[in-house]
Amino acid sequence: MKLSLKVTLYTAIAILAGLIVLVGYFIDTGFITDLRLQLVNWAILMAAIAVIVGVINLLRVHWNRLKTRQNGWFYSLVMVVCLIGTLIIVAYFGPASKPSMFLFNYVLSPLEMSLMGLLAVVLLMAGVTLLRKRLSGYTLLFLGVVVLIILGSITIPGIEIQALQDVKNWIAQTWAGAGARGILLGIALGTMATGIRILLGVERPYSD
Amino acid sequence: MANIKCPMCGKTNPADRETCQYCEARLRPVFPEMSDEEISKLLGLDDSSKKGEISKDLNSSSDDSLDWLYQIVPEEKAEEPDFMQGDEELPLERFDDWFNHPENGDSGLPKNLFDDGDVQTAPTPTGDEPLEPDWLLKMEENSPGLSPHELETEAGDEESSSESLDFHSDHLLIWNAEEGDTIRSEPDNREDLQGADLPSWLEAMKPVSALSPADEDIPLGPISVEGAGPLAGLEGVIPAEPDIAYSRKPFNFSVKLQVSDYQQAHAALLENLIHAEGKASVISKKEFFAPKNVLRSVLALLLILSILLTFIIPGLLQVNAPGLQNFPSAWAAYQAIEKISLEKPVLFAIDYQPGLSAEMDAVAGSVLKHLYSKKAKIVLVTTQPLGLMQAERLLSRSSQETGIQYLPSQDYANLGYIPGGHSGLLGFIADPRRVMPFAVDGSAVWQQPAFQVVNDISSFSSIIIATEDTDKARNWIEQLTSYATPAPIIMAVSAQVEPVVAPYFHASPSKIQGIIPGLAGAMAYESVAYHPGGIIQTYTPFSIVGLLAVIMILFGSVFNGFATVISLQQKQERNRGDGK
Repeated sequence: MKLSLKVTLYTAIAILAGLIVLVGYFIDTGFITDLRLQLVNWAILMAAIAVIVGVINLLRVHWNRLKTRQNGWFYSLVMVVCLIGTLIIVAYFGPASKPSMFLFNYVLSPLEMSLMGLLAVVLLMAGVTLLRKRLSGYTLLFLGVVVLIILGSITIPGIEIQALQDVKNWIAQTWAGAGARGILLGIALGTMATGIRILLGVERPYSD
Repeated sequence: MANIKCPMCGKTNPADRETCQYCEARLRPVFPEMSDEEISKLLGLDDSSKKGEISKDLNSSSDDSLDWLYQIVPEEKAEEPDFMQGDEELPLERFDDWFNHPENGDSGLPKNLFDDGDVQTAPTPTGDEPLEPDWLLKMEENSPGLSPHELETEAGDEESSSESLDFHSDHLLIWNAEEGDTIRSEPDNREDLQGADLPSWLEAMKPVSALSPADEDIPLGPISVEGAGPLAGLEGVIPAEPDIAYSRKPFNFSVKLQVSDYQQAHAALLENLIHAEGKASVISKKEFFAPKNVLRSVLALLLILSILLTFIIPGLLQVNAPGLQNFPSAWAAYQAIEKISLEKPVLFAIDYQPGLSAEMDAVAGSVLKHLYSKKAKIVLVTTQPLGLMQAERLLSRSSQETGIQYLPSQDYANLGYIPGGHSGLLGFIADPRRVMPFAVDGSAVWQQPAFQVVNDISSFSSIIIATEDTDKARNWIEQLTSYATPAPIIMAVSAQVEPVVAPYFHASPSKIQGIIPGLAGAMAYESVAYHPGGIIQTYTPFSIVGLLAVIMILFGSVFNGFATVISLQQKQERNRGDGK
């Protein structure tokens, strides 16, 4: 594959920046640390700008839907009005002001918590009807673990069974812990492999 | 009627067209049916007028036509032969004789006519030497009954080279015929010789005899002139191959594979797999003891009623806080916070979504109330866009619960949202002052007396991360431990994150100094750190709903399990009945 000058330049910049940040972990000298911090600050700045660009794009998409009266234009209207209204309130009064906190406490937070409540009902429904849909040993094992974890995480009124706590801790620390360690090791290896590929220029997600 | 495909442009034309309607190329040959004679006419070999023209050209401009002969001869030897010096016409008879009997060597042509310097010419026979070569003399001796020509023919079968150089062939001198002459074979001065028996492959070649002028006169036809197409106006153009001008229906080849039934079964299986890949599997509808929506509504109502019951009648169901001995990581967290220095502020990261704030507010609030009770200075930060509001709400609730007022810029500083994900977190940990110089209220936080002591991440007395996200928890731990900060790291996490962060706590040496896992862990922590707290108000309905959920799952599983077993048995019985 023939690399263009632009791609080569991007690759060189990415490799150089990655190496500087990586070396900064091992060599704590003034110049390297300052350069590394400068690069990281640029990344933070660009990420903040990306958030703003994302919000503008969201607004543009819904504005176009509203203008062309596509299906669901009313929801787009609600979204645009809420976005602009929230933006004005938070920008004018400040993010920690009473109007802003009112929006958060009585609109945003209850909405999200309601969704989580629905999820709890759906999961419970799935647990109740699970054996109707699939009757097998694995299903029974799954249901048994679920019941033990719930019983170990709560306190039964008037009854204190230490064995339930012990079983719950044994499952969470031994079995779940073993799985979590495996996941962490896999993530670490994958991160290292991806980092090496980017540093070597094999992978160039920035030049697509 | 079949269409005609143009041989030049390849486009299809109607069958009755002479030329291509697209490129004007000829579609039909000038001579649709071409016999040997017509081919001869086409090539102009038997055209008397053409022959006459050729002969006339040769006679009328003999000097010019023979210039090529003089060019072959070196300049110092460029002597004109006898027949070129006079005004007499070119003695074609002599020329012809020379070609037919080159062994005579006295035709008057230059001796080096065929000598271009490289080709070895045969030595001119002298009068003393026999005219016949040695091999012919030997064959004559061996076969006394045969004539020399027959012997020569026999030898020709063995020596193909002599055949290819047969100067006795009549067709070589067609071009030097005079105008008006008809092409006839050279008077055979060897009438006594019989025709040679040519080998079959030589007979198959045919063109020599096919193209050679016949013994009888052939009337000459008109010279064809191309009338259309890119070759328009040219004479004697060879027409396009008629066969390719007509589009034919292609042959039907059988495409049936010769495969066995076993192979066909496997191919069908593969085909079904490929087809099934793009189709969503249809989940068969199961019959329930009640419609799904009714069951779902009943379950939701039971959960809501149980929660409301704990609020309406608080003393109806009392639950005890779990013992801290069941949460050793929470006990370690408590001990670590108890040892913190109050001269340095505590860094508190609020990194959870509002949807999970019911659990996380209790978990993070238990630690925050502990810090309140110790009058520790707190710096709040988040990597969630809504985290700063979460922090403000948590501070407000903790103040209400403890009755301790924390003032911004004096007791706490809310730095707000750090953009940039992992990079932002890395930048903040590397240099908090540089990355987050201001609080959300716009104050220069590091200039405040309570926070002036902070120069880097190790300046904090403790670092507490409250999150429900495994990636964020891992990111915080790994970035902080890479800086080897001496400040203890406490994780206040939801129950689902505990297995992921537990390995960091159980590592040797520990990467983190304590974990407060979930609502039960927070309840246990609060029972020690700040008693009586408000978590019990959340933990009681949580326990009641959890117990109710267990009962529902067990009841539903038993019921549905038996129902499934019974339906399976009935199905098996039906199958047995069908089998009989």
